[in-house]
Amino acid sequence: MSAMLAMAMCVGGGLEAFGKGSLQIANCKLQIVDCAIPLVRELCLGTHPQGTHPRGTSLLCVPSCELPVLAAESVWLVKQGISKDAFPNRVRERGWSRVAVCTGRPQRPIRNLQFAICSLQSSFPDRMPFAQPSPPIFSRLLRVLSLRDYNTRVVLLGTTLLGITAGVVGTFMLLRKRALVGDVVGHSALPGIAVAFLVMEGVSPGTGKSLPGLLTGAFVFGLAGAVSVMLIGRYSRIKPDAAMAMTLSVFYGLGAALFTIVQKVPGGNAAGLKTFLNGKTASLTADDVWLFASVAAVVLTLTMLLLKELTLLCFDDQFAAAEGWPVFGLDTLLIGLVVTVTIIGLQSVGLILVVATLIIPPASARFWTDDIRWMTLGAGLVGGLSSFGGTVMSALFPHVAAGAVIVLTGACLFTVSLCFGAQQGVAIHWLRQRKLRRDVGRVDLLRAMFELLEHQTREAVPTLEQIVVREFSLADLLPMRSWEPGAVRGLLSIAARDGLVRAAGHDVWQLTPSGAEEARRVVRNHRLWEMYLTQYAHIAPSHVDRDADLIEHVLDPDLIAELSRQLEHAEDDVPASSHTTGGGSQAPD
Amino acid sequence: MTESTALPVPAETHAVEHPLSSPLSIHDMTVAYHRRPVIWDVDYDAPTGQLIAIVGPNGAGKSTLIKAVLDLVPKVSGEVRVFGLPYAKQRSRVAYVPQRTSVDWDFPVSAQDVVAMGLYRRLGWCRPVTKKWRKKAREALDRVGLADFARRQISQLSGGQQQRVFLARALVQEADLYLMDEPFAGVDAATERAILHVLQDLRSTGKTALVVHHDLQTVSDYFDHVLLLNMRLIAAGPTTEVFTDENLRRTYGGRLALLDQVGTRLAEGQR
Repeated sequence: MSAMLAMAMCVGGGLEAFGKGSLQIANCKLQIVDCAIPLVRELCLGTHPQGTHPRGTSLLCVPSCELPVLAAESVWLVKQGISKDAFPNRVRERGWSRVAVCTGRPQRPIRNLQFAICSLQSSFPDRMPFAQPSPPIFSRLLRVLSLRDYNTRVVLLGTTLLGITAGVVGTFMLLRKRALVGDVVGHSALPGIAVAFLVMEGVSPGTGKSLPGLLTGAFVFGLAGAVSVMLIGRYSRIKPDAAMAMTLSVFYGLGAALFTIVQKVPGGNAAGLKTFLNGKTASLTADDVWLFASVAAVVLTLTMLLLKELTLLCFDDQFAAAEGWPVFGLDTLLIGLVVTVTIIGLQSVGLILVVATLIIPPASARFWTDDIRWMTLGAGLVGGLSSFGGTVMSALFPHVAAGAVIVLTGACLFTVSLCFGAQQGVAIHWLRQRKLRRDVGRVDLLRAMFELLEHQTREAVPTLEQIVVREFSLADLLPMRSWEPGAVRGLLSIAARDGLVRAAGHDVWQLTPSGAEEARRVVRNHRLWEMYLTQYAHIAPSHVDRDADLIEHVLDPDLIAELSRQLEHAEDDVPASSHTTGGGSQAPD
Repeated sequence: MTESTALPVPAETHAVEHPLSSPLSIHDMTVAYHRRPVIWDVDYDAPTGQLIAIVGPNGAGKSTLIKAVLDLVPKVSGEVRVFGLPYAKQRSRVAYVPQRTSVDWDFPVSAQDVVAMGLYRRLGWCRPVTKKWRKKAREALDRVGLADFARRQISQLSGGQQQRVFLARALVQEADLYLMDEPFAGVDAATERAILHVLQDLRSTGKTALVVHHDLQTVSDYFDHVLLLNMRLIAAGPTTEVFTDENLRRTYGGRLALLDQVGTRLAEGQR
């Protein structure tokens, strides 16, 4: 990137005193890269019609340790009217580790200067190594979180707003199964930026980088990319994934081709255009944030108003169409919202990563709720949090691209949701599985005890009194199922805790009255199901036990009632088993 | 499927006059997917207040017929009248039950939310679903025996319960003509009874229902009229007259009929 534009500028001799040996600032040539605002560029170059040359200008200096902070510092310097002679002392006082220098006139609009400085700074860390250590990380964190600096506030507000909006809109993209459309939009925007630049340079040279113009170009091409995916899907047999892959790469290729032309525009300066690739989080300005805020307001209002319609569209578009809802129109509106958010998001995280801010938040929120309203809110929350957290982190580690940190923070939140989500998280799933295993084990144990007794009493179904007095040793129970002694002991101790069995000696157990009742109940259910299988499903009796085992754990009271009704079986009666039960002769399959 | 093009052109089913009062008049309709015609020249008038089965082999165009009526797939030729007017003007009098498998049931909404979708058009743009409408949705769920499941997320319902949710969504529309795509496919016995009960209920209040049905064994028990379809209309009329072995053979072709019967037997056996 640094090769894109190099321009030389001289700095007055006042810096000679600073950093002897370690820095050759005096009369050195500094590169200014990514200087996107023409005004500042011209000021720095001294070609601006109003301000002529660095002579008489103030020095702006920038500590690179805190990206969001740095511009505020420099503004402060300008405001204080620090002269270039006082500069080295100031640098020492502040303990700045790295300094970037450019010239500018203090009476120029501060916001523009900020932008230039940030861009300037971001290109410098490697070039101007200073020996001094940066302040401790904790104090920097405190400084960012306390929102003491104007620029910190601006950047945090901007990225957080974007995160919320992207999360909310992304919910519907995810549910519409068009998660990758955001990616298509992001990549399709690239040629839009190039075309907009070329058109604006063509109409009046030097205005090529006006932000509204560039964003309009990006919007038009982003929308074109998304709509072509929709149209390809609608009017051809190409599957959506192929349509998206094609559109994405074709538009991106077009963009790459156009950018080579852009760089050859005479006198044109393509620097800054490429911030759209990776974003420029740290150099968001108040103007940007106002734009974000208005877009966020519009997008969120529309989403809230059309929540019902969008839900229907995502759930069942066929039904929506049959009901007369304009499905194509709603789809286009949804895509329009996505394109808007994406184009705005380009500035923050860049076009390659913007899809992550759309999809990660709703995917995370899905683990916490089964209700689309809460999911939308949750996605906004996750999006806002990851953007906020990511921006704070990127302030602490300025060498890492802020967009990437935002995405990685989102990924962390996703991982947490995946593991601990209240509805579909891995942890809750594991707990449910364990509960199911325990329930199954308990039923198996009780049934084994009941059948053991039944086997002994020879055909007659044992009464509750008979059940309660019988003592079961571990050796009795083991052959009933393919059980390990440890597993049976585990099951027994859980059953004892639930009050179903009680210990009657070492490895000898008795059923309690409630346990006996429960045993009768589970055996009855099992037998009913067996009977159903043999009578209605024509399954051989010897195979029934296994099938019944599989299904009985999912029988609910309704189904049991239905079984009783169909089999015309008395309410309390335990039917006899249709196959041999009890010791040794088990596991027929 | 392809051999059916060799079938004789039916003569007896062509209605010359299309009565204005008919809930559904299909006139000379041909529908194609990607230029391959799926149904040819269907000409049909549905009688009022009857349960009508649409029967035919896989790929016969049963679902396509319904979708073409609802303007979901473009017609190559022909026209459709619903109570004498084009469908676009009669949407409020028609309710549609799509195939259960046509949507993703892991969607984050409750049974009641899905049923309320049937009310959206009456609610209009941007209006939220208020208490009054939620009550209507719950009443419809009650009619299909799912009153206790209103708040359940739809993926936690069984296949049959999901089908009943779709049925409730159609009921809540209070339409006069119901178009149902395979409501009996893969449902449990309780659901089958519930759906049948609802269908009979609809008939007793003078509504008409066209139901795509795959189970030949139950056609005569459940339906008054039958429409035999295999890419073209084979026969249509009262079940007692039309649902004959001869017509079935013409619909399914000899070999196919046998296969289907075997399949049906198998399905029965597993239930």
